[in-house]
Amino acid sequence: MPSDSSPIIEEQEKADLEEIEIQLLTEGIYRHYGFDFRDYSRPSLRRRIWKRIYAEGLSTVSGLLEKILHDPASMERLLLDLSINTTAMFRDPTFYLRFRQKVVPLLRTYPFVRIWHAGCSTGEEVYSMAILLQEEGLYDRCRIYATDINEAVLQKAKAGIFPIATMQENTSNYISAGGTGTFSDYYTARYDYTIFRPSLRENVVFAQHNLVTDASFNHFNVIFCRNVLIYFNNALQDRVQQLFLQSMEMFGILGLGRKESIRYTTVQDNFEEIDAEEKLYRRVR
Amino acid sequence: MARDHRSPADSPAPPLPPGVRAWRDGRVLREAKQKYEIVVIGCSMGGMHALTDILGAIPADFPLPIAIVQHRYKTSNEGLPMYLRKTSKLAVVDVMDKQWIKPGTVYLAPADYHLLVERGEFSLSVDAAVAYSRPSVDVLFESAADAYGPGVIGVVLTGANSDGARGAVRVKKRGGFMVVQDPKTAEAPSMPQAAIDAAKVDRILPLDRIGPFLVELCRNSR
Repeated sequence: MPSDSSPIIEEQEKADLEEIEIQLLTEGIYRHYGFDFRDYSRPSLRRRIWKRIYAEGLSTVSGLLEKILHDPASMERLLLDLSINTTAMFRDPTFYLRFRQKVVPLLRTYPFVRIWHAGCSTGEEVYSMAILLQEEGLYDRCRIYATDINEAVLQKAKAGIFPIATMQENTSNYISAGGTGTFSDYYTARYDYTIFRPSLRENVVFAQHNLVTDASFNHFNVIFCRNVLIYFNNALQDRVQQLFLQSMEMFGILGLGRKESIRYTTVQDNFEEIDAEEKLYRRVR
Repeated sequence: MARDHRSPADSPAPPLPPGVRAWRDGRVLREAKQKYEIVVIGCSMGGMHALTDILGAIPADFPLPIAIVQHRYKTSNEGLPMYLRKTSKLAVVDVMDKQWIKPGTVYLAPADYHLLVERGEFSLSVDAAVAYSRPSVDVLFESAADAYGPGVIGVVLTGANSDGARGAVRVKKRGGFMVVQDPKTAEAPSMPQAAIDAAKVDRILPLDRIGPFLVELCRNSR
């Protein structure tokens, strides 16, 4: 008789146990450190947790829980793993192109424009938007609030120093995004790095903000949150969309990632589509 | 031929044949015909042609969802789904985040995103490339195995790298079924070969047999 030790069942039991361990880990992080990953989308969260388990030389999720509770330095490392999103200057160039074509004309009619870039990571897309706004002659009346959950990546964003190895891709993105100048005019290359013009961050405020646990802090004319919501489950996506709605002026603009959408969220009736493909929306109620 | 008088309890658990799965009913282990729930396919170089061939052989009433990672350029947009729609009798879509998984639909990993599977829905990520690839076959296969366990049918096709090998191992570990394209019939043999070397795959088939085989396998498991 096949005993209780059918390998398939054993593996299923291991997986069920791992789910319990992940719930304990996120609960422990929340109660001890205040970061709330409990409603993060499971498959990505699981991959990122396991990446950290291996890097710490551990073999179970519970082992990681013990380590991060008693060793804050390992929590810092896990926090980086869980919160860094890869990005590039003018990532998805067509997004910036459509923004130029369809949103910039609207912004020209405003005396002052407040922009919230939520989940700005290491800042590449903040500098991209600053460049675009400078080229359109709008930058002087804009203020960009660039926020991220992670203080360490904000420090990088503030410095405005990026590896020179990425500049080829960045330059080609800049051109596809409808850049009207010469991309190399915006930075100075030194050794393996490039330093971006300080004037680009003159009107940028970098600040820590946690989309999951922090409240609205201002009213904005434009909110960008690109490729951040994909890491959240449906319930959390909905809560964050409500936060954006509360933080959004009437006729404000919302820009999401290419594969994100407000469809099926509780705010879908508050917005109309400006560009279906690039996920640009305008608040209408 | 001597009869085997050992009581079943003494004999080691026999390996489960393909298409059969087991579950626990109280203390008793029961077996039943496998019910497959999702097909995941990975391909790279030469994949456009291979996918055309396979999807062309799959009828409109195919009972499972099919999720595909085909390595593609970062900026590729509607080209791949449009191309596959020409031959597929199923609906072909680029996945949106948190899109529901429905049977009889072909879901493509969007350019520059990883495609991951949860029970009932997809999710996307922009995490670093895995084995130089985003989307990555390993990421799709491993998440599908985590979510659907023995309900996964994995298919590794042509490609010039080893993406999919780790994923194939996970699919097998969780009791899923692995089909690999015979490297001799692949435009680029290294990806199917890597999967064969890494995992105990269930079938190695020439390209033109894969589509009909999937249809057969899913019909038998219903």
